[in-house]
Amino acid sequence: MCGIAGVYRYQKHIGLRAESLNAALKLISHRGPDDTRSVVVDDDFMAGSVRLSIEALEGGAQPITIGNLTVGFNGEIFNYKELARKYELEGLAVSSEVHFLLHAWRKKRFDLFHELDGQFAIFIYDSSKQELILARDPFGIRPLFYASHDGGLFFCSEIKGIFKLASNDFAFDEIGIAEIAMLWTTIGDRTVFENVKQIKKGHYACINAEGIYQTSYYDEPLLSENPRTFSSKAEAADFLKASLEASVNSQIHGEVGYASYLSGGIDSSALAFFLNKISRNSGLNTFSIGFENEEYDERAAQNAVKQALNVRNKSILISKGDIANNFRSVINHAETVLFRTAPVPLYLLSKEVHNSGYKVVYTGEGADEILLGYDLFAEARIRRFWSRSPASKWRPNLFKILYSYLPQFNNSRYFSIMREFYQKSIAETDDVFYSHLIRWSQFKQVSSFFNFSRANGHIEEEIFKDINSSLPASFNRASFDRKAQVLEIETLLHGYLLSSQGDRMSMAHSVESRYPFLGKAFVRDMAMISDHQKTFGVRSKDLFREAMKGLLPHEIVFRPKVAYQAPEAKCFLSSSHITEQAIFLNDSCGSTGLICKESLMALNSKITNEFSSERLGFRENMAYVMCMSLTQLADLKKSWSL
Amino acid sequence: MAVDNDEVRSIIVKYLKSGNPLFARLDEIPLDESLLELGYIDSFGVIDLVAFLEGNFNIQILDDEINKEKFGSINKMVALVVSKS
Repeated sequence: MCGIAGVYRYQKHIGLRAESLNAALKLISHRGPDDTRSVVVDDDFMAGSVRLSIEALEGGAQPITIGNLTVGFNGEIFNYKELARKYELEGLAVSSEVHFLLHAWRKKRFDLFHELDGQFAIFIYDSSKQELILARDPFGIRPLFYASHDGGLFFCSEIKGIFKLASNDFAFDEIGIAEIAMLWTTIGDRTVFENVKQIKKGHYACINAEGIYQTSYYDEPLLSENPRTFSSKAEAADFLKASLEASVNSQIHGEVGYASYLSGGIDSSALAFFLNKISRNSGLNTFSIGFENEEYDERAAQNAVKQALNVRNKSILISKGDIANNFRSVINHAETVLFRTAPVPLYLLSKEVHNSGYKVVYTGEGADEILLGYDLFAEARIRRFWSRSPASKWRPNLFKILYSYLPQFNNSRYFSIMREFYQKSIAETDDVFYSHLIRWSQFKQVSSFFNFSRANGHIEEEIFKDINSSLPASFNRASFDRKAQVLEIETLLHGYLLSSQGDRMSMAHSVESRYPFLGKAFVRDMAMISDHQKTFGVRSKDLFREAMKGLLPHEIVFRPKVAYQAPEAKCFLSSSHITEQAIFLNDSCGSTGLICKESLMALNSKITNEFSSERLGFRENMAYVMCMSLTQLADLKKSWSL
Repeated sequence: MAVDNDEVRSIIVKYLKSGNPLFARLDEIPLDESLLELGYIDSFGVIDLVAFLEGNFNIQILDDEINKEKFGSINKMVALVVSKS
């Protein structure tokens, strides 16, 4: 695990400034506190890395240069030893991943990437060909950004490093911000900064005098026709269980200890179960988040797992003040506009993991996307089911089962009016984006808090252009559920969960997160199971629950899905208190010209109204948190380029 | 507390406008249409509105009153609040 940075003068050969590289590496030193190295390869290329030593503690220093090739990377390649044998590289010194990459690239070139099983961001510079390759793992677990500016190509694991390398304060990209207002994240290669791009997940970029070209090397297994039939549900459940255990085992990699996150849901509990099995002698350490506000708190479930598995669990307790006080630091690491505060507790959790002496933590992201766990999937099924008989009184009652953890559903008093909310969305079943239309429809409301220079219609057109260019051609032929899964993987998983809640929060405290539910073989195996076998009707992760039955406490296995949530706008502002962050927002919201101050002030009056509810409306929280993060980011980014 | 229709209506409209710029920018406030159907409030927004009305007017809204017939437009909410005040 590391951070990487570099400069390639690919169009304008005006020399390199080594001090800018060292300054950029210093800015991302939280990603790799164990070692810093940089190398000026020739007149046009220099690169460096900060290292968090996990695998090959002795021989893994990087970047390395052998002959015409210079290679550096961030991440883990779980199958590198196996591939080294397959490519017959044993004679060469492939004692570490970075050495493997160099020799394997020489032999396989672009055929290499699709064989890697891991989480990675890689650079390979060939001085004889005058060519730079940047590549990123299939789910985009590890970040890699670049900007082509003033004839140079600047790349780095974090955006702040690019500001430093290019000595430029990049402006905000309003389409990027609008995408967050609609999709909850930017999509494709876009970021919230103009001209700062990311290597798309599952892509490599080839940069030479002719330009920059990104190419996909990953075929989404969910879109390939490779079904497997099972004679019974039990057989399919056994297949799932064995595949998950193998995925956990395949990610036990490196020479340092590991811990695991424990939310109290079935995903992280299953990981804890399999990890505990491996580390039976030493026992497993787990880390959890508790909330002072009991509406968000899951400590009871966490304790049930802790006792059943006999793990050592450390829990941190989050207050509203913690959210407000750490928000600025979180934005400095997330480097984007957040639509909710949920990354903050994860930022504090990785700090606890780091302080306890761990560098590696396993976590359950990906399970909901791969195993059909999200409410959104079941919600779309219900809407479609209801649309076939719109007059039905009982079909919409299925929402009650689905959202039993939300007050507007578990409290029967709101149900009648909720039915009305969904009624307007049940048609349009032919739309390829049907599953996400309700979520995306909030765009008009949320974007009304911003002053975009372009008309909404034009912005929406740009957003859909980005979405369409991110989806493989086979998307339109996929099943109803799989379309929803792929959209969720392209948007929320990649752009938010793995970055704003994932890499960026854990690496803020030099902790690497691992995701066995996104293991290469596991994802491929799960795509072979039919949608309805994976989950029946409106149940969530039906087959997965079947698989874990008997291994975890019954109340955990059959616990209704609870979405991880944290308190939002009222952390900063309420009828009884105003935080310094809220004052900063009010004072500085005009700085970017992007926030409609009048609308924000009106929203303040609602938040501070003594009778407004604790949760407000969803869009109001979202608008407030977006304005707060944009204003903080505008202030923070000024210092990145200095 | 005795309240009249106009006063209640203006309090509700003001509250709704405060969280919703699009609604605030309307030339004509839709008084007889469903705000959920028009997209001006979301599911959490309904709870928020009920909490606000109960707190601000010191009334209790019953479960079977939160439906389209009695809560489905601004004017229906006004009538509901006035009948309880």
